[in-house]
Amino acid sequence: MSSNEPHRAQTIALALLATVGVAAWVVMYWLGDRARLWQSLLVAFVYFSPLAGGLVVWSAVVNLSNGRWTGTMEKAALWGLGGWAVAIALFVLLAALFVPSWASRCENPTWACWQSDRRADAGKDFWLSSEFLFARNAAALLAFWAVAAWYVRRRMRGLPARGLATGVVLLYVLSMTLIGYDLVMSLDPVWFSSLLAPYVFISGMYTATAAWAIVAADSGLLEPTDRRHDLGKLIVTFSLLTMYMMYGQLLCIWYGNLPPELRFVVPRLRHPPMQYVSLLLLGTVYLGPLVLMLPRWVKRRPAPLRLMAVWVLVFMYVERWWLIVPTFHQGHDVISLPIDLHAGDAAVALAAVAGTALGIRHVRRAGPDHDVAEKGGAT
Amino acid sequence: MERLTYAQIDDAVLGAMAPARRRYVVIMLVLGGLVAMFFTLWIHQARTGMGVAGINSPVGWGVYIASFVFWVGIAHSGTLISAILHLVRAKWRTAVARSAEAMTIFAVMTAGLFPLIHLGRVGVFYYILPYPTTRQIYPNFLSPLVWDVVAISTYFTVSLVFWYVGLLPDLASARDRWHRLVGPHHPRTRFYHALAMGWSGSGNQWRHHGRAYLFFAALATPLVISVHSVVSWDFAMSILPGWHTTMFPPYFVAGAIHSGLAMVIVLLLPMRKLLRLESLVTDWHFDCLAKTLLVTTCIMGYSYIIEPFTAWYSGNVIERQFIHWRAFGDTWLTPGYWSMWLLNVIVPLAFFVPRLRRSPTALMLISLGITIGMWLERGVIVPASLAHDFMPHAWGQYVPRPIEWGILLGSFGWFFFWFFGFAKFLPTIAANEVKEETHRDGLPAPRDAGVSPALCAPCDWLLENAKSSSTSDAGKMPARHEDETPASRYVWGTFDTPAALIAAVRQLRDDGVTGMETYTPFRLQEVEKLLGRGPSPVRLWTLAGALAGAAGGFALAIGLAAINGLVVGGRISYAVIVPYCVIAFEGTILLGVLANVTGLFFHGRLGSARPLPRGYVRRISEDRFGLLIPCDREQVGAMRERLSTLCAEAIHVVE
Repeated sequence: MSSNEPHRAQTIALALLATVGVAAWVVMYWLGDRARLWQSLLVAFVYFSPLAGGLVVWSAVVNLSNGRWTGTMEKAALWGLGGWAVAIALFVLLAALFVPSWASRCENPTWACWQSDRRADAGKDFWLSSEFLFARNAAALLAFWAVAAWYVRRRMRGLPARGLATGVVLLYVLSMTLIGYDLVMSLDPVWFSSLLAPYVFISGMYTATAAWAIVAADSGLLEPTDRRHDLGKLIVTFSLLTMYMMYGQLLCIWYGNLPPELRFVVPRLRHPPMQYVSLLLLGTVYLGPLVLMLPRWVKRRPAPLRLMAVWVLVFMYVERWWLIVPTFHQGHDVISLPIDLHAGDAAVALAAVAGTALGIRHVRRAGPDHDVAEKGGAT
Repeated sequence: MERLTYAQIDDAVLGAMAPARRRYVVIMLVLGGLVAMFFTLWIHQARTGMGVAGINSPVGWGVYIASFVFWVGIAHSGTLISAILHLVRAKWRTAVARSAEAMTIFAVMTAGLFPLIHLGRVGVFYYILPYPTTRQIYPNFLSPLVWDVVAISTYFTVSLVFWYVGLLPDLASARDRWHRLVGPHHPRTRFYHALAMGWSGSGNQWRHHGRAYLFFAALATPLVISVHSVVSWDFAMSILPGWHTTMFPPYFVAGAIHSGLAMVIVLLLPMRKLLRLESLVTDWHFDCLAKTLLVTTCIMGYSYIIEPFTAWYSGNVIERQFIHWRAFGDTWLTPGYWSMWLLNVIVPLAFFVPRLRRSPTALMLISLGITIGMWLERGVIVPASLAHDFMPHAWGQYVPRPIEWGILLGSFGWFFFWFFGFAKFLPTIAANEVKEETHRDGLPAPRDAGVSPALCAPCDWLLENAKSSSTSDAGKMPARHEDETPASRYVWGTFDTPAALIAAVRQLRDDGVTGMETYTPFRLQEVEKLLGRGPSPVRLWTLAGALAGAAGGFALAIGLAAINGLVVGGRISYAVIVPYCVIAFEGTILLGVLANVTGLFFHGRLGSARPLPRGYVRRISEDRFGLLIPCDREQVGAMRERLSTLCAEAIHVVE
């Protein structure tokens, strides 16, 4: 058996999984609730786009800060470029299927037509028109991925790329801020929170950190032990930072007690069954890593670290679902939100995970085998 | 950085503490004058009443509260540089961290005065403390103002402990240096002797110190973020336009770090010149500071855009009109608003030009600009919302009076007075960390002249083979076991390089010698590994303290709410978990840190009354490396001989 055969078998398996996920979603879309299946796409996009982009951003941050602790592991972050295809594909589907998906529910399928209460639209109709909304997000995403691709190309050749690294970080913040405002917050145009957009990109970096651990572990780049320890600490740090960003806005909204702000918080935190999901998230993505990764050995051994990374990635998907899907059931008179799970969520997640993994493998194989951190790190 | 020997590092750092020159005295006199003005004006205000200040109805918070927020912000960078950069192992931290930590302490001391000044009746400040009182009214832990008191006092305590623990090894250096220079009875020697708490640089102390310091950093980092978040909640918890916004916590934290970094540069540039520290605080350090400022500049720019954008996006007419008034209204706040854009965001972008990051003039001008800009930011945020709230009939104006400006100016005098005083009496640079960095970089300290060539001859071989374990029986010492009767003699060997000490420890360990202790001017982790010491138990102290603090925080908040409910009546909020998390968090950090330092003192055997080990060599805190070996009376001769073959520079025996 040649050494390439296991690799080829894994690629075929991933391609099969992606095909199964796509096929399942297409069938469900054809036969079922199209608006709900569009929501599945949205959850996947808001999850995978910051994740894949965040991987490249980690490389840029390491490069800009002259970080040496990552060593060869920086390569694994660069391979995150492979997630661009899934992110763009999800976005294109979101834009292309927006009208067909909502035509059955809305008379005039415009952005946020699912909300009966649109008091706060005054003066921002143009901003929330679906054409402009998708156009500006498309521009931001294309700019980000184009600069990211340019950056990764130079880094893989061992060329100086500090200016591009700055661009990658700034464009990531800009594009994820737009996603936070446009594709999460404006799902309910009445609700607003100035911290939500920063929350989206910080939590995106959190998922990217967990993904980095998995990609690096799969490539044997998580050696020596100190490197695992550092990455484990980074996961804990970002869990705390993500929790801080969420707590910061919840406390302010709780204290202010203003109806336009409470409509996001109260149905999620005060009333079952969504309250139970919120508690689950508190225990898993916010406080979970801090408690479970407190012992040194969890951070220093490969298996527990990888398990924790998978844990974070799985429950952060639930968090994205919690952030997005209940909003479609929200209104000024709605107190208790249903737990609206759909098989389409799993289908899209399966396809996107397999697609992202395939993309990462592709970039990994296309790139040179030398140590980018050694060649380009000092530039 | 210029390659300095360990002794030269001490000369540079401790030499700066030499008796003051005239220029320094003049500066201190000017600052002392400002301090006198500060207290005179404060006393005048306290005697006359708050009417002498410009605050009025509806603008009840003015320059004093803005200055409080500003000084708390300045305080943040110290802990940022020291704690966060320690955690991420940034090398440029070592030369600037100590000054930054000191800046934190003095800035918190300055900030803490402003709520008292603003209070008017200073004598009743203790009403906010939770103590049994005949008034039967206890602090309400639902109030952000009470969170503020808890957070700021926690921050001051933690910063002070963090700073002091970091100072310990350098205080021991100062103690030993003055002991050599002016004798043991000189007041200055006694002063450092008391402060050094018996620090001897033993391997045991370094092991606990390293662990404790790491935990301090890990606890201080979230504390930095929490404290300025709590300060921001003083405003964000209200529902006033311009104040009530969810982004205030990270926005305030970023602003705090931005202003703090600028103040570090403002302080370091003249300090480097005055104390002749150019060899330790180099242009590279300023380059790193300026790059970090660029990061905070981008975050500030982001926040400045998000705030008005969200106001517009909200569709709320009150929010929109307020933002418009602040930017284009007929008030002095309008130029202040645009100045903060200019000084905090646009001008600092100049640091993208590498040359400007190393130019003292550019660094000073831009940093001063940021300092002014950040005060203006607070000056705009604090009174603006009060002056222009929901109802036009309630709108007002606020113009600060001269007494407010005078007290603000005096606060700068107070802050700089403390800082320059610190610079003359305490080590301004963490000499032990600089030495450790030098050691890690593989820059061996040159041997002093006068070491016997006969002694060095076998040592060259020894150093070359330091990494290999010797199995030769030649010169082996008879093993001494821990369960034997206490040693009657101690043999001291002193080495002139860390490599020689490491090699000697390795050899003696392989010979079966036990109970050795090393004494070094900085932490030598190689020795800890060789001696097979496990992780310090300080971590368990910290964990226990943190858990007790969390439980205590919740208990305090819930308990007092219950008492207030019983005494005052009305609805009792026994367990409003969301806001009580703030108190629990501060309790976690406070008790975690106090337990940490207790563990360090207990296991490190530190205490002012504790004597130094007998036979302790004073140069160990500077540039020598000691090895203390317990042995029986009959083994002393053999041990001396063995140490002499192991390159010991000096050997002596104590009982």
